[in-house]
Amino acid sequence: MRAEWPWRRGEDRAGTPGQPGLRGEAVIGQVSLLRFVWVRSWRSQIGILALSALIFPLTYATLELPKTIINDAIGGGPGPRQIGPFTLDQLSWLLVLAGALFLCVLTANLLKWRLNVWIGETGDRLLRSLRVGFLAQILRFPAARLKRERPGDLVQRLMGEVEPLGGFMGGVIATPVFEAGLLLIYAGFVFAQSVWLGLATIAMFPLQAWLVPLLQARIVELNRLRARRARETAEFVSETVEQIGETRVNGASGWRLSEGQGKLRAIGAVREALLRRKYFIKGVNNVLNQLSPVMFYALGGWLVIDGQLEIGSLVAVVAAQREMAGPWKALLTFVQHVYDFGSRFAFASQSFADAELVADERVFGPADAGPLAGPLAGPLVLEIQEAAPGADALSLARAEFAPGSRIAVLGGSDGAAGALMAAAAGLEVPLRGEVSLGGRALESANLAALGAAVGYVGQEPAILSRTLEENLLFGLLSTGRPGQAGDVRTLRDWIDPDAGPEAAEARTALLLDLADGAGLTPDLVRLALGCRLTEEQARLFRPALLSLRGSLQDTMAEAAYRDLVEPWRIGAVNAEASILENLLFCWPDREAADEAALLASPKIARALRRTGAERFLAEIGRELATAFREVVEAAGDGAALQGLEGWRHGDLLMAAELLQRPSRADRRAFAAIGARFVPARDPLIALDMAQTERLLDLRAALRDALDEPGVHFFDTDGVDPSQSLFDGLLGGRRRRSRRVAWDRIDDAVQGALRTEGLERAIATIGLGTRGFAEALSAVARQRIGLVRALAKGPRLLVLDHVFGRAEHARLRDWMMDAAPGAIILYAAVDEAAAEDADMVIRIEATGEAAAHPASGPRRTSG
Amino acid sequence: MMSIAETLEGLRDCAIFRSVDAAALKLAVLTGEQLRYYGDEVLFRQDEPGDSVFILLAGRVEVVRQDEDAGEERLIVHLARGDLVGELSLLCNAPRNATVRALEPVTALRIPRQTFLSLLSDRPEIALALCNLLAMRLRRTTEQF
Repeated sequence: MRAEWPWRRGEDRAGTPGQPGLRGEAVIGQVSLLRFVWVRSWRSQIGILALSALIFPLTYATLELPKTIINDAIGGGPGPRQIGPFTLDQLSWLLVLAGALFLCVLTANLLKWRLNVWIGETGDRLLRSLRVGFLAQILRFPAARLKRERPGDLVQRLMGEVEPLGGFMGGVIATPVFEAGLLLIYAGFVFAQSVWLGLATIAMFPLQAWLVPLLQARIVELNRLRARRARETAEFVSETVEQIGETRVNGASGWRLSEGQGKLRAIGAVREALLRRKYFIKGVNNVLNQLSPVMFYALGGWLVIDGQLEIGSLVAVVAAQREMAGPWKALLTFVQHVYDFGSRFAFASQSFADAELVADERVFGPADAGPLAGPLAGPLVLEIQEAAPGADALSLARAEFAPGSRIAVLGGSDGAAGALMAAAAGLEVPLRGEVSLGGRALESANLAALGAAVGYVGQEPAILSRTLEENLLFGLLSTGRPGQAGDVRTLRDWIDPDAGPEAAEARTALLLDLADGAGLTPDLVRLALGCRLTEEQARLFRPALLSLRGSLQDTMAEAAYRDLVEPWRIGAVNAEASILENLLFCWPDREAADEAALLASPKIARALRRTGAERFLAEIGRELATAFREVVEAAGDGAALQGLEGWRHGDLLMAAELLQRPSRADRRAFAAIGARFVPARDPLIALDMAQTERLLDLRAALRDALDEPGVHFFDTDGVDPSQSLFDGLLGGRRRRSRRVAWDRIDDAVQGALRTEGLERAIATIGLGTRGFAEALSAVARQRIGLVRALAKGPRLLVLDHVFGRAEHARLRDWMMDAAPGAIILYAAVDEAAAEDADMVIRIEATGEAAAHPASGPRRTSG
Repeated sequence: MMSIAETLEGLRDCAIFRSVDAAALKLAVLTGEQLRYYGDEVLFRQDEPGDSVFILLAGRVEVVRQDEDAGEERLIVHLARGDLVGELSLLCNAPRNATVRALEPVTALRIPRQTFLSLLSDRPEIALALCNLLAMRLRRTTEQF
């Protein structure tokens, strides 16, 4: 059954691909802003126009009623008025008319409020639709374009440049109609009172209508220039950040800054010219607008004096003339915006255009429908006469590889072998040649089907900013059900939104098996050890962890582990922990990520203040700030202070700055600095004997103040969910100065977990870790890539220069079991690594390659 | 762990930091990492990427190199307090050309590559002293052959 993609559901759903009659090309410069708005929001625009039409009669009534009040209710004499069956005296008649006027004004404004909200909502949806369209374009960019583009520039174009379009697009059809309608009503009213007054009112309109667009044309040019320069500056900033290392090593920071100043100055010059033009137009408009009333008052006054016009009519006409200024100004502004935003829209959409876009159906079409869909399974055919543009020279005579075969790629440059791997995985398309799986060319295969069939592991697999489990499941997206995209919270929901807890457990078990086979378990356990347990996990694991802690502490007492752990003791300072932790001797809020979060807790702040600990922290903070100031001054441009553990360069600058303005109010700021001081990490100052004694006294006082259910002090015998699992097991922190021996502790802890049968349970906790990317080695990332590839049961597994010889030898049989029947193509580092293959593709230095059967022993699948 | 005064004193014993003011030394201490090793523990191994330099603040180390032909380690030199270790691979952007192993309890300040290069570019006196040190070593090596 054809899947229900979210953007196919209605006009305002995300929007680009799949929209009937208007696919991705709607936003790539092929259509005007107006057409884009109409196609994407015609229902809303018609609704807005209908609502506008309701306001017109009410507006006319707000002009007619005051005239009737003055001429009839006030000036028409005291006699009774017959309104249907009712007879009203003069005052009642006046009150009825005033009430009617009030109702008209109220209703008109309520409708205007609803109209504006509707326009705003429509604009927001259109902006979202435009951005989704651009994002879809990016996803369809050819590989060469993706290599060329800088992510920062794309972000700027996608988010920053189109932002102002939102408000305009919502009302692009309704605004001119509504404002012109109002203008016609006001003008019609004035003409109805007096033709001469009507002519006087609109006398300057033709001149303005001719002059303003003329002046606006130059503004449009300047706006384009500004956008171009802003983009150049964004590219420059991206390049500066990317090349910061080279810049520093070459001492070019000053030059870079000066270049940046030049670019910003150039933008400033364009903005100045823009401002001059804009305000000139505004000035011209104001003068012309003021000319109308001058003629109007003179002519209107003469008509009243001459008896050709009633005073009530003149008052109403004066009001109408005043009201006309609003819509007329709005119309002129609209004309300016049409030019301005139209050029922005064209500029932005053209920048996402590309003649070589990957076909929409191929990227977004479902895996199980359409001409490109269908499973890819069967023999792999590789024939390359000319490699993809930009790749190293490569040519391979036609070769066919049966399912279940293992193919080693030997020799050639990394580039040539990489090009072969990328072509086999469908990531690159050779200029001339054929790459097919099961008789289907990868070049034209639906990407979801390709993703389901082919597993590719590169040297640096992408790590998403999600949990580790979601990272491992990433490969299942192409095979899983799309689900309800609007309700997606996690990838797990996406994959199977209806799956119950049993399915989730089965999936986790599968992932843990794969992770174990790939050698990822130690990394999962290591990540889990850095986590805090939930209350439930703490309860669940308590007996096992207590037993484990006892045996680990015995191990840590052995000579090989001496000096590795700084233990938590009630009578001593833990140099590996912050001063705030030392004072509190607990982490009372497990949700608090750092010391600043703890200090923000009113309960903790109150306890610190009452016990005098805040003053102590402030003293330490001031001492540390003084030391920082000296170092900041010595550090010049601060390059040496980048990447400091626990402190950012900005923190040090702020600390030094605080010393310039010492006041009582800054005590908290100094306390915040002191709270973060870790003696073993920040060696510039140290606690002296008196400070140590004071800290221990304050610790005792704070312990009394904070002792309540749920707060676990560090030396208690329980399992403390507010500490990391690792710290809890060790009863302290690993010493930074003994970093060289940390592996020893990790091995001891992991070994003990294995012995106790807890390894898998702890690894499960590791699956839920976030923000782990930096804690992983390159090999661990590659293992994640391998698990991700194997989890989807690929028909072809491509290992592009990953894992060393020993690791590959360890994994090869397991991979065949984990992906039964799959073709495995891998880059072999040497002949020995290729001896277990069924076939070898040997690439010569010239790039010429040929496949032939391997000669070594081999193992069959299963 | 050594106090800041002891650490600064140890740095002053290193030729490249001898004429540097206290603020720059404190910068090195803050951005560096004081590490402690026991006998037989390795500061770094031959062929590892060189991402930092070490200044020995206390204790002795041996510098050994794997002799490919003999298949065993060859002692190159013993180093002690005040010596700089690991600067060559950092400056040449090449893997470590020897293994450095503690012979007894050793305390060393490890300065990462970026910080060390910044110190060299900001403090010409350190760069000059390093040139001097490397020239002396080259001269000694030349005299041996």
